[in-house]
Amino acid sequence: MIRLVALLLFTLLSTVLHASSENDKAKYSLSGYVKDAKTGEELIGATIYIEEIKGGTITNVYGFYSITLVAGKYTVSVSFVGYETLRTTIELSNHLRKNFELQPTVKFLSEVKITAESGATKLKRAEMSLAKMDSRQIEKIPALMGEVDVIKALQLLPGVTSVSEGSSGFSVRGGGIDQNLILLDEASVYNASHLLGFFSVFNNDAIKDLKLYKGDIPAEYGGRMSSVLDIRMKEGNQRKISGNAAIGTISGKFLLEGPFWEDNTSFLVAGRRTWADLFLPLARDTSLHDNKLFFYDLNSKINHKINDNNRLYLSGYFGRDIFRNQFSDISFGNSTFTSRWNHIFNPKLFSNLTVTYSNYYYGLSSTFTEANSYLWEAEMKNWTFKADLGFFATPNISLKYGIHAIFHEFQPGHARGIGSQSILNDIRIPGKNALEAATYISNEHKLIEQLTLKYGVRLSGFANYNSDSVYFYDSNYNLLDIKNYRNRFFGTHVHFEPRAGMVYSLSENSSIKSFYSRNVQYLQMAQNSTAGTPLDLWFSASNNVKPQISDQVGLGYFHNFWDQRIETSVEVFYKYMQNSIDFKEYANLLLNSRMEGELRYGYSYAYGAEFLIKYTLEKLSGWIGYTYSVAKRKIDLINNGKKYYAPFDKPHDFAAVFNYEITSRVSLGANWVYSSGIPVTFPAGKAVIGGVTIPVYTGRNEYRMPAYHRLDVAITLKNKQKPNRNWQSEFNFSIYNAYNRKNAWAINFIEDKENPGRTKAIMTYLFPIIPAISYNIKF
Amino acid sequence: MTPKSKMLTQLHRFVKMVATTASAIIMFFFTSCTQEIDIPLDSTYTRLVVWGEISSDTTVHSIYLTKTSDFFNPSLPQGVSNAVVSLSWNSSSLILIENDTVQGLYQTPPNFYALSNTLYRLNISNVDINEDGISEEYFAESQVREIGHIDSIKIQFWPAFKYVSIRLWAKDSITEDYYMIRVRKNGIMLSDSLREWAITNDVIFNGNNTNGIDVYWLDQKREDEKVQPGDTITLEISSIPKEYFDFLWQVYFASGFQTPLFSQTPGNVVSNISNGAMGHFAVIFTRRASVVVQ
Repeated sequence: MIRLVALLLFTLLSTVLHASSENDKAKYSLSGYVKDAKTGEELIGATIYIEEIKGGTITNVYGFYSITLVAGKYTVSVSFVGYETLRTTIELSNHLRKNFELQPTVKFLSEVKITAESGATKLKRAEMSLAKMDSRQIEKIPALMGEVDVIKALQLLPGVTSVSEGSSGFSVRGGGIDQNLILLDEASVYNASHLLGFFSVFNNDAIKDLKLYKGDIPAEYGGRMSSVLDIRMKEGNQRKISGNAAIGTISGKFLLEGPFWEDNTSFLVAGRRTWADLFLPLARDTSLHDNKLFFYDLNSKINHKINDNNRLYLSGYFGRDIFRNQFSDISFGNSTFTSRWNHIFNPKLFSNLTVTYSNYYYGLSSTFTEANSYLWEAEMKNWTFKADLGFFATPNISLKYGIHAIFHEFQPGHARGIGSQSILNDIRIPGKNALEAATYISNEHKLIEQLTLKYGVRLSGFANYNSDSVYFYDSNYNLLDIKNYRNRFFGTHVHFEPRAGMVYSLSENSSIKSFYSRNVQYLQMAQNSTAGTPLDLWFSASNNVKPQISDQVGLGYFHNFWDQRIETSVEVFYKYMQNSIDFKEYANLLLNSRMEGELRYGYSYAYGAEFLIKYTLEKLSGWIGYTYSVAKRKIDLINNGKKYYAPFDKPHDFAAVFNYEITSRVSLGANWVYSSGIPVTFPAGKAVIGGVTIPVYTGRNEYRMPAYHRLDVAITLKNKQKPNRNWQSEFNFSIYNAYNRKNAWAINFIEDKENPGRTKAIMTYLFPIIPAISYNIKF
Repeated sequence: MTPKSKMLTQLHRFVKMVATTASAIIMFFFTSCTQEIDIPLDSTYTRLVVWGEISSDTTVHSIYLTKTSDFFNPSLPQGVSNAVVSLSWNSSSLILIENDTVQGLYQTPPNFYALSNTLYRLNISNVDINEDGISEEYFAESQVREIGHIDSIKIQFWPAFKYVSIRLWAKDSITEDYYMIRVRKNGIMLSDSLREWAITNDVIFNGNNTNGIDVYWLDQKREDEKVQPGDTITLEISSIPKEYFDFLWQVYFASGFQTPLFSQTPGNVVSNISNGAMGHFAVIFTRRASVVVQ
């Protein structure tokens, strides 16, 4: 490993020296930002194409680009999906800072496209297993109850599956829910769901861009094995006050954005609340009148341009689910805060300094009777510091490097009685603190016109700190010892995480790509249900728990047709994961200070092939995806030590997404999904004890739920455009599960009351055909 | 839809509250329906099932031997006859006699009672479950700690919910204790199914007075549980071994309604019977208190 790192450092040093020597040959940098001409919002992933060199670059996540060229005259094309391409000529005789502003296209259809880059540029980039979306694409997709949902849109992509009917939890390439790093403006989101998983916490109106890395995870990301979902909020309109409001079947929402100081300081505020419970006071049962059952989100952001080289961003999210009645109160939710400072040292060197705070809290309380009144709270939080730099050395070499540090604090549970008559003791599960740190360096290196390499390494470390009660277990999971580590580090782990990838262009319209990625995960969720609950907390690697390590390789063939209007790809992958964790049968994960003794360890693997066809035709757009995959585990003492299917293994997963613009005011959307049922454990025999039938199982996940399929359709009607009207509105009518498929959510075996002694299988399905309507207004 | 259960620890009550809320959400926001479906299930080999408690009460105590069957087999479990079932403790031993009318039910004499803090061993022999012509032997061990007396109980009506709760005043000892709670009305056991038994550990009220906490709920919509003036309600609180508590806890989950939200991956209930048999043998220590409904 040391040799590998030394070789990598040598290579990187060589490239930088090479870049420096090239600088001596009168080369200059063209750099700046690419923006939306109407709002001033920076565009992420816009393409800057230099016709003379038949190459170019794209803007980074802050909309910044930089390319170094020999002095001369160049024709520059700047393009971004949904915008008119800008073509201009520049004279480069010195370093040039130039911002480009793109006009949104009138033709709305072209916005419905999975990628924001031109197909040709994407073909040549050394990145694969990556999906990008923006909020306008997502809002076109028919949704459950009309509630546009970022994560459910992602579940329509190859390699991404829902963990249960209607759930916003997702599995990437057979991995667990907790193997996805979910970032909102770089702050991690611990539990990305509302209403027990049926809706995600992300308000689509406030989202600008999202990327999902399914395997080829860049070195600047770390901490999860399966994927990184990087969601960026809008910056706020820099030019004028604007906004939108919507009222739908279950929620209402608004967004307001605008400049405090035109082109320098802007703000954004967005909110959402479900409102179905507002009708509870009309219920016949008067005891329900004061009940509360809702969730809400608040997103806010301010960004300020200090000068051409310095920008500040402050953003935050706060969301809660509230369930309240006469005797009990449950609330849970996330809050995040992000502050970022972009600094341009020089046209080639871009930096970003980020400090984030993330928090997940839940509290349960009851005052049903005085004797059992209680309050139970748990909380997780982290503070993250990141310094990331991008060095655009030459058109062919771009380096990224940085350091990250995360301080984690876990309070797994504190339960206590309320009032003098409560019999409950004060129970506090010992909290844990941990420090996670990493440094990384990576380089994207275009060796020749056809071949680009990407290589890098991430060095990560994790250490627990300051704990009074650290439990030690033997190899049979029996408690050995309890030690005190007050003001000391313990349970320390250090790992190298090499990442590499390449793209080889076979022609203007085709390329092959491959990657290798090692990812180490130091945190995992204490969850042993399929879909997850608000009570699921995270726990860290420790003296007992080894970090989970994933090694993944992928190979892909990419071919575009018909002037890049149709993009096709085939990707195959294999993923091997060490130190995989599962829980022993009937594990107790709540308020259990000895939870680590409930864990079992082993390995897991997944492999598969993903097929994708994306099309952007004159009136029709969308994609068709199919995945064949297998995901299995082998965990000590579980399933008698034999391999078993991972909980989210779905061999066949198909999705077709269509959007058809009937007229300029009317569009039709539809998606159809089909997938194999998830693995499930059913009994083979039974014993009857004390009047209760007790199942006898012969193996874990040996059966499957019935296959899942569903058709959703939506039609959107826009108002007529009028010359002096400065607002637009649209009605959206959608039908979820249009042909009323009864998809199994749960299967149980119960006694047949009409035929005692007979046991029958009962399927529960949640969503029959569900129509929804929403009205949106934009100004 | 969800099977009624009163087997709640305090901790489980917390989770139950969230699960109930989840159900409310699903009912409030969504429409859930059920439908019978065909699921072909595999067969598995036959196992011995052992089930029995011996308590501190002086009475007939029973050990019931049956066999497992295929899951969809509609027949009642078959009792295992002609086994040799014995108990041994300290330097004493006792052979249980098979009931004349109930096949597989082995019983002690009526003057038998179990001692606290004493290890009891159950031995079973002369059975051939796998029918290979060779007899198998099984055993299990259990012992239990004595618990203090109940100070008093009271009945509280909850007309809004159509339930009656039984409130308990007692002192929990500072040891780690596990309790099982059953209720009789006018001498008739209401908790007639294992899922009707309430169990709890004392993790979150260890060493405390119970201050009249509600320990059992009677559903006033059920004819057998309906409480009327003049009825005598008897609360039975038993000290049970941790292994028995774990077993009952697992039975509750294994036989309960499974959903993706709050259910664990199903697994076999852990038995304390040797040689791969299912079930449990436990010694329990019981205290009682009664109240006449006014």
